[in-house]
Amino acid sequence: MPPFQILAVVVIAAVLGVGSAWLAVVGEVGFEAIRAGAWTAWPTAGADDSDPYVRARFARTGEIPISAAEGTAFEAREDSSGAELTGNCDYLVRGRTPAAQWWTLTLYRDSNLSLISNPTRRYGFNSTDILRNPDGSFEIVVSPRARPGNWLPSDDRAGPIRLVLRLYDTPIATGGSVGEIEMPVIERGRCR
Amino acid sequence: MRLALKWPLRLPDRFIRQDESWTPRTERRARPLVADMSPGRIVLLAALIVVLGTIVHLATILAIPRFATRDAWSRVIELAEPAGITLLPRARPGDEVVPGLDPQIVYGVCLYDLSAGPFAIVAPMPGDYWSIAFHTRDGVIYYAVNDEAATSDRFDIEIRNARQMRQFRLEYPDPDEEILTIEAPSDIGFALMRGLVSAPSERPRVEAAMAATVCETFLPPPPVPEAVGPPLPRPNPVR
Repeated sequence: MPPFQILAVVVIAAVLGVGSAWLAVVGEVGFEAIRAGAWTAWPTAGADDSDPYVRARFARTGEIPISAAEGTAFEAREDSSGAELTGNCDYLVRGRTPAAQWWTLTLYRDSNLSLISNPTRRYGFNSTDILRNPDGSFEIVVSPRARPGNWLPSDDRAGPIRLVLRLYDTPIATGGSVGEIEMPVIERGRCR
Repeated sequence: MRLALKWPLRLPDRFIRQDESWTPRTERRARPLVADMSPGRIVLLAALIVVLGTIVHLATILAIPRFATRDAWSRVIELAEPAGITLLPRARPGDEVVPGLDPQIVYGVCLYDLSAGPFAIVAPMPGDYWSIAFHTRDGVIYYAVNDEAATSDRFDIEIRNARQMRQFRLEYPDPDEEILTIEAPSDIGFALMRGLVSAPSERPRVEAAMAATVCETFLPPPPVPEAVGPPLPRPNPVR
């Protein structure tokens, strides 16, 4: 085989190999992900037999994984219709959470998982400080403008945003059926 | 069209015309590089790209944790005091020490090194959700437990490596049930504790409880002083 062809094969293979690995780690590839509606969780993160994609993902971001014995973190980067969550739109997060002793819902910038500053210093809600409907369900409005009720402030200039719902002490990751998980829906409202 | 005329695949030149393998390189380079290839050669090259690309892909995925310099371990090691408990600074927008921390959780870290001796943690639990997870250097959580497992309002935990565990089992065949004893897979690691802040007014209480956690290495017992005076009676070997 001529040297030029060998070189071309090696270069193309390296570019495709590294490129696809990068996309897999930045995106949401993982054989062990739990998906429920707009939400995705990696319950095996931190386990010694976890899938290498999940391991690479956490090593890259620097996040501390939560083990299944402690809880499960679900994240949403898209609304329930599949459109990317962005800071310049309003979102209504409504419904119920799966069984858990406690839960927290937090809003981050998608790019670096940092919090979004706001004058009320409200970065999220938890299962005890949220206002609920009489039937136990709740509605949270994610918006850059103040809203009555459960208002989670975002920022018009934040770009892509991410919601993380952490369930603490939940049976989901340790054997619950994925099909039965009832997660809140995320509906897009007005955009600016 | 030229591709079709070349089919079926010819053996490479070097197998049939060895005397012409001395063709000057300049002449070879002048040939069109792709148009001249037979479909068999293109398929072969494509297959090679797929195989090599897959190897590179898998190698990259496996290498990322090994070469990551800003992973959770590096960040925690940078922050935590070598002894005792360190509370991770509260997450503030744009000033997070570790990305993706839950702002409604108080985090406490204890570094340990079992080469000096077993490690003990006595944790007063703040009341609402509390958990502890043991992390190794390679990002594996080998043990985690939450407040549901507690029998009292504090948690007593001892970590030992395999050798210390064997010795402990020999010395204490009936260990104290109140103390959770865990075998660590490696000598160094950290324990990460989480305490939930259910309302902003609760934060000082949760932080105080977390800061009151005792994390310490068991020091070897001081040498027994030499007995002075008449020798003590030897214990009865029959008993």
